Amino acid sequence: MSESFFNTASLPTLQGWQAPGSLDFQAAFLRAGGWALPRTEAFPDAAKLRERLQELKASMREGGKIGLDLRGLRDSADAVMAAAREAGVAFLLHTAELPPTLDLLRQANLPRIVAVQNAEEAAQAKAGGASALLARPGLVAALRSLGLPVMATADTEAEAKQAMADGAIGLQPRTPSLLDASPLAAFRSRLMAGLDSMAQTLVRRGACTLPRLRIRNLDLAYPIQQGGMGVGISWEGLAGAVAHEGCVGLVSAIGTGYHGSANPKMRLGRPDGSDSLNPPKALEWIIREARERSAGRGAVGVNILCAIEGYEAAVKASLAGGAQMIVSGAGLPLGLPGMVGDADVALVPIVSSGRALQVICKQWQRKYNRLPDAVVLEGPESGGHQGFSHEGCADPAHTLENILPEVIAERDKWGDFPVLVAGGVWDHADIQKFLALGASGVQMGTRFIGTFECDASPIFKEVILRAKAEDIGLMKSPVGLPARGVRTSLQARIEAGTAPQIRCVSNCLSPCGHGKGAAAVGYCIADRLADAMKGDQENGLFFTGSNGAKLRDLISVRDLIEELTQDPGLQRVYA
Amino acid sequence: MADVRKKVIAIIAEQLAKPEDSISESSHFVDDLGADSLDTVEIIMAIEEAFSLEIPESEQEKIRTVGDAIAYIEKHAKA
Repeated sequence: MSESFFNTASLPTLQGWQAPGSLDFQAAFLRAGGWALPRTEAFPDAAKLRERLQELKASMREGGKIGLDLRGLRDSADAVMAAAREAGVAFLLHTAELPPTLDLLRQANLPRIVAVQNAEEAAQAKAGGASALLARPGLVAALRSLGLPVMATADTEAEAKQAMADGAIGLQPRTPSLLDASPLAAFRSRLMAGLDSMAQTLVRRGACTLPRLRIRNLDLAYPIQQGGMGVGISWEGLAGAVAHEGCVGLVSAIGTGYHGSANPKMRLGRPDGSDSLNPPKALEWIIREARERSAGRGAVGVNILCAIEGYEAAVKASLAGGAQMIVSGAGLPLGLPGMVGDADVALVPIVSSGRALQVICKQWQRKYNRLPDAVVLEGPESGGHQGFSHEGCADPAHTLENILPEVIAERDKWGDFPVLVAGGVWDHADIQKFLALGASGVQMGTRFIGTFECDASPIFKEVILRAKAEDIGLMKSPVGLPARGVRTSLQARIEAGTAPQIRCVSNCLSPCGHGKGAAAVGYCIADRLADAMKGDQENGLFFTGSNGAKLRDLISVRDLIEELTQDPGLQRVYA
Repeated sequence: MADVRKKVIAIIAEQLAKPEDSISESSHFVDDLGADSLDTVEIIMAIEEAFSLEIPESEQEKIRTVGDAIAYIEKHAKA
């Protein structure tokens, strides 16, 4: 990409959020001389995309360019490229992750801007023939040394100014309110002039129709909680990023001995005993770091399995690290209030029935004069361990829609704390559906695996991204109830008796009885999950919800939350 | 002592919706009476309430039959 590409009369400005009715919004962006960014994933096929690109071309004004965001690009890459060329697309935007189709993109002979997360990806992008880079403002100075033009994403005026001072040649404002800031004010007036009054209102005030979520004294911008995923799938990276966007991010407390900050006693290559598998200091560090990364937004909580060896130590470590919420399932957290005393922390049990909620409320009320601050109802489509038997998971009476009313009825007997639903929630429409059924929010896990910030190895994410519906199913687990994950060659080896040896070095979960459960099903759950997190495809056990098959691309947590909330530019958080 | 037995059986009968005469001291909550894990917790809670007891979690795990419960209560209940 030559310098002249960027040498426009005004500052190159990339469309940084997708508004509802985004097609007209893209046209307005073009009319204002901005660089519009339709996404391939928004179109069912290349023909529809071609049609839309032609329409957009008609809105082109001086300085305006159409870029094509290749997110969601898969099978018909050649048809998409042909459509792009015909419609006069000026450049392509993709992530460093994309290139299974890199050769095809090269043949398209269009400038490519690559969105990168770090210097390593930037170097890779350069080697792959990128024309320019798009990065966070803090990276601009470092990336300039690669010799490629760098554009910067920005949420705040300070970030925009820093990026410009560091030599960014263009900006991608990520939220409408940033358009008021000085480097972009001229663009803003051109943009507003090109929008009808309704669209102007959307830009000014935001358009999110989801309610906020209050849990105890936490006020969340959006009713979304990222579920705890272990071993090592949701730690400071994911939970911190989710909280940063005004939602609840949960750190998983299991297996923190595998975290980089831990230095546990090892035996046979595994943390030796439950104290080494779950060192409280590592959990404390992870939670503190997640809170640091949240920048005071949203909330950072922790998920502690009731079945974990060393439950009380994990609770204490969570408090020490500053957890704002303790979420606890896989058993009944009957003694939890006694362990936190008068600490200011929200207590949120996970249940799969109204009866379980009743038992918890009864016990907490009687013994501790306390009620849950919220409850998560987990249905049988979730990833990992289920609250139902094999048959129970398949029973139509147990779908999330069908078990929600009894839990709401039980909640109503005790108070008005929020009920969050989990297990199979996929998109904005699902969130709206469950809110209409009386839930106050949702907990989602699987979708967050498909993010850059997810703490698992890239290979873990790749396994889930590649899994097809028929690859995902329930499997036996050492702790009794079934678990959902991707059936890999590991399952065949377990059946053939050639799976990795069971040695119970870490003593992870009490219901396994120090390896008895593992012997019964033919594998050790802690060892296999830890291997998956580290990216060992052969020996790892890869948990996912049934929607794992729908995951196609890695995106940023920011983009995911924007899509789920339909709040363009996340104005509730950034305005 | 017979009072304890009677009261415990009444609690369990109510909790599991079973006739009292189907329950004896040797009845195992799960194997004989068909209780699930939640039932077991609820039985323990009801016993705690009825006898003003606090049964520590480690002890709860050992109470698996009607007789276990009666023995625990007789040993720990305040007169």
